[in-house]
Amino acid sequence: MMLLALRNLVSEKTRFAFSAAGIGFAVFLITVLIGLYQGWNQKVGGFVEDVRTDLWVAREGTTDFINAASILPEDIGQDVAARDGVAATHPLIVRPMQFDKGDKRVELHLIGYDTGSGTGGPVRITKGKAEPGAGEIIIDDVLSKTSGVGVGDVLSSGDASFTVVGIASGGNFAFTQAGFMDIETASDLLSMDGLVTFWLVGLDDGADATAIGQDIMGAHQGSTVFTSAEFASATRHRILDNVVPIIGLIVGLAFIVGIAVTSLTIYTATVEKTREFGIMKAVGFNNRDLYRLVLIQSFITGIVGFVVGVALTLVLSQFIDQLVAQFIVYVRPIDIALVLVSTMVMAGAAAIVPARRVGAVDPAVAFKG
Amino acid sequence: MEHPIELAEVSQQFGSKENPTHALRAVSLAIPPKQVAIVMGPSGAGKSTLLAIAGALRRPTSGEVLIDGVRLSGLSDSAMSDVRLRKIGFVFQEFNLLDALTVMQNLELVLMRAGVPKKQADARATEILSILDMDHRRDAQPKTLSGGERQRVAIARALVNNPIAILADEPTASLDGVRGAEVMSLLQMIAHDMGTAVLMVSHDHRVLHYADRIVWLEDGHLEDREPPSMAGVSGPASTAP
Repeated sequence: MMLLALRNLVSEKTRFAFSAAGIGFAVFLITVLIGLYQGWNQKVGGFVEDVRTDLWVAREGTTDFINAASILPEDIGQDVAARDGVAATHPLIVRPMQFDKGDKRVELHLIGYDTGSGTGGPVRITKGKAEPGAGEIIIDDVLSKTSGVGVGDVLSSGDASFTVVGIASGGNFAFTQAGFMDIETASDLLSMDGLVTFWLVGLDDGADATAIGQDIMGAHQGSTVFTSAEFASATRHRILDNVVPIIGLIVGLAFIVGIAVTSLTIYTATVEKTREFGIMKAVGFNNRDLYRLVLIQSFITGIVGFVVGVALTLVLSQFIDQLVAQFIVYVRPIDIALVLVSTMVMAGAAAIVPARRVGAVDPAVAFKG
Repeated sequence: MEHPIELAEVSQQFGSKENPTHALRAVSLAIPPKQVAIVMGPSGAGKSTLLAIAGALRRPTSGEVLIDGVRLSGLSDSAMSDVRLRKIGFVFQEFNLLDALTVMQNLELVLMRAGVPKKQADARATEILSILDMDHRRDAQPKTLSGGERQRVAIARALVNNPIAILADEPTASLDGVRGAEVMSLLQMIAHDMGTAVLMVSHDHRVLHYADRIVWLEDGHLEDREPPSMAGVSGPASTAP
């Protein structure tokens, strides 16, 4: 049966190619969108996870890292640092900012951090200095590529100017990228003397993060405390929850397109082979055999389409972010397995209507000359 | 021994209840082993319908069909398929081979559907092709064969599961006289030497001298004719083919 299914498909190469291309396109679209979601998921929350801290202290009502409207008094840090189980505290200032490079606008997420400890600073330096000094800034490598700003360039904001002294990776939040300054410089620029956005709290080994978080919130009304995992998750949800319905809708449409294209081509092939199916019935094949034949043909088409679609995605994911910075495609093996299952569901669904048609074929059609 | 094929009071009507067309009217026919029976009659007389019902391809409106003594009326569609697979071999006017497969694969497909393992299927297909002198074309695609060769392969496929009856629908209609005679000789050999019943529909008067029995079908009624009486088989002048 497998041999006949293969021969039937190969005997109609153009139709087979169209059918496989249709399902391949759907698989490509689905894989890219899932990969895009995973890429964003990784980038949006990745920086928060990379910061070497256990707790994030923020103003009550703060939802996430990107949309941080948190303002805290600087002296909270000293009180928190004195608590049992706390190993270290580090201030962080975060604010979306616009800078100018000549006539060009450069938007970034400014992060002022304690350069002494490095906590909250660049994840990996890829070029230039590892620490920004006064009047200096380190920018994310994606921002560098998309804005054309490199080491030695000067970014200005009002009367203040900052020389780009380093390029770092790990500060790409998909929709925006980070620029790092030392905390004093950031504080001066934003007129945040005595104020910070977050306090980062490192705990002693074995310390109870939940209990210490509760203590901090009890002692400082109007503050809230997240663990790193909670804050990364909250940041992801805040940003990605807006795009998930859109991605889901397009994945659904791609799924339907895949079913429709495959079903249409297999149905057309089935109609054209009505007589052949009648002959098979006449010589002793029953409906179940013929359903299996149609299903095998559909699955073979699906597998070829799957290979084409996934291969295209993997090739695309190698360079697409060079062309469009926000297009970060991260394809995980588990997602490929999920797409394979979806493809088989697609192929199975596509075979339903043709199989019904086959079931209705009158075997006596074989007698018609 | 049971008759391989037996029709008892079989009727078939098409169309609406108000305006029915009677293809067969209480037809009874029994084909014993080793007999070549040829059904003749005018176009539209219901010859193909008779063959479809006798071959378990279609259920009659009323009456009973027995194949190898088994009543078809109580069988499911799937069981009817099984009867066709194991008891009946079909030979068609247009050969009806699967073009996507080779000669050998056309035979093996039917054998393997019957549950014969690949190795035995290969041996059985080779044996049948040898009997029909087609083993040298075993790897050919049906489209590359001549009409006579294709009909030989079709006969091989019909025989491969060792059926008790061969049903043939105009098997010589697409062949020239020489090839047609070869095919008829084969069918006669299959009936007389292998003991298979052959029920065949034909318009071709040249095949009549291969018949052991000739039946005339017209207006849904079946009537036996004497094989030697060639004048008698042409039927009423107004309906002669």
